[in-house]
Amino acid sequence: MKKALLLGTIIILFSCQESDFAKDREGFSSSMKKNEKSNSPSKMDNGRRLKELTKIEFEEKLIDFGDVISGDTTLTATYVIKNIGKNPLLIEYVNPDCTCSNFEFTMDTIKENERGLIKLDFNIKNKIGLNKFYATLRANTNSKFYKLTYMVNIKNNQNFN
Amino acid sequence: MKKYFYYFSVFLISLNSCKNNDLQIKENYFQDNYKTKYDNLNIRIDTIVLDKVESSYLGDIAYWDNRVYFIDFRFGWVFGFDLEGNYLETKLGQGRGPNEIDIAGIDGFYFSENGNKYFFGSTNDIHIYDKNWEKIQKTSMNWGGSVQIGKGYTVKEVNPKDPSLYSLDYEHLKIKGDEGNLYLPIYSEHPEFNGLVSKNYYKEGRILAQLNLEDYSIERIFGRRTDLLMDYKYLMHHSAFSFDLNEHGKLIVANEIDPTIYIYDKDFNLLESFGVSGKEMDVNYQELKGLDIKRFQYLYFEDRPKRGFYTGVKSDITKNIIFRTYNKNNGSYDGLQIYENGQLLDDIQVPKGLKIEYTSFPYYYSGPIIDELNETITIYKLTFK
Repeated sequence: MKKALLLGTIIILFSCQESDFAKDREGFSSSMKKNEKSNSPSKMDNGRRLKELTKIEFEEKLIDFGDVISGDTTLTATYVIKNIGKNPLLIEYVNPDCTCSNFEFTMDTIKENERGLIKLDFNIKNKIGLNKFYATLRANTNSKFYKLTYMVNIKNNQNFN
Repeated sequence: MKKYFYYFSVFLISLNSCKNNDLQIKENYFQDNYKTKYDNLNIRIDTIVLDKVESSYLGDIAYWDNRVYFIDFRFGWVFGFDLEGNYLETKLGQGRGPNEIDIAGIDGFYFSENGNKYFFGSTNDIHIYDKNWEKIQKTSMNWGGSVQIGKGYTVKEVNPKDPSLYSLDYEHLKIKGDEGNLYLPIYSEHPEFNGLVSKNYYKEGRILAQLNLEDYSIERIFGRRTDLLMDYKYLMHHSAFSFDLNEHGKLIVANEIDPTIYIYDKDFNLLESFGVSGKEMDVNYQELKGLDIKRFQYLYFEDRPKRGFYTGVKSDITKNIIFRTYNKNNGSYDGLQIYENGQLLDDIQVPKGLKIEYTSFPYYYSGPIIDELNETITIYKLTFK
């Protein structure tokens, strides 16, 4: 509800769209969890925990879409993680901060040297200017939390001056 | 998304800084002071960078018990530092464990005199901890009103006194409190009663909610915006205000576009007003003509930062001093006005984004300047010499 105001969506004009997550997952742990944002971390939970800690490597933690023309478009940010430790890696939960984000992440245990995915959707309808969005990821690593960021500069073909 | 916009705008600001025991002193930060009363008034500004922590660098700070706490809105951590920025401790963290906080994201907080800490989530949830960081309870605010909270948009007959119309103003959620209540900024997003379509919203819309800390009910909604907003069609992107609550129970209110500072009692009866315009302020505000979301966003995100507007107010009752900060139409620095007994003492240039948040004469501390990319949190210490 609150986010509506910040982006000027006092009246609900945003529509959430689901993107096509059906991409090739070869080389990745296969089981993905699709979910929607909730107000409690437990609702976005994998439901599993691993006691042993491992190490995680991100191909990128910030995805910049650059300039995008305004429209009813859904952008998908895909983050690739790799288990570079000596124990299995488990994404415990993902918590995106935009109510319009659908998201998906690898639910399976990610073995040593294997990779996993986190995908976040963002619809840019009715948005203008530099937008930045975040998701929190929790895993069985020494660092409990990680921040994933995606940003986009939405250009408009209208002149507001 | 919410107030992170603020941090987007400041993370790009690069300010010379230093660390802990090697404080970089910037006397008369910019050599542009002018004296209105005290020839000897001299303010030193020290830059303090908090020790690095494992944080999202999205959050805000609280001052309590001679410490500064960084509240990590994304990860739920609370990091404690001494007033020189040295790391001391980490508390909470997002999760369901006994010492964790079961919240998707922290949107607001208040540290009370008795050590209780209140953390607000996005769905009217409040998480309360005692002075030892033991969880007291997790509960929800009871708004009362004619319809269920969150359904305010369904209200058929708009009555500005109806709490159902309002929700917390998460974009400007600076919370103040006294012994038994918290005071929280609110706004309405009702389709017929909001800043994009309703002139009456500016005239009759309430701006504060009083939360009773015994039963967590909204006891009342009260306060009004400045009349200056009525001079424009719609000026929602400049309709915010900042406020402070001093030890005498007086509310000090500064509106974004209004040069006047207002002092009210808790019933919002005006007791006093004073203030002069800041310097280098472009007040050519661009109004909205009606419901145009894209133009609103353009004005809020791109036009607003270029205009002059007042950003914060803080009272030091021990010295009868009020600080007010403002955004200049200048990319490098902002303005700070210092009033004593309602009279302007000084109007100086200060680092961009500086707002006074903690007073302990002769020291005054600012809110955080967060550089998200470089993962630094900077605060400023002003010393009256």
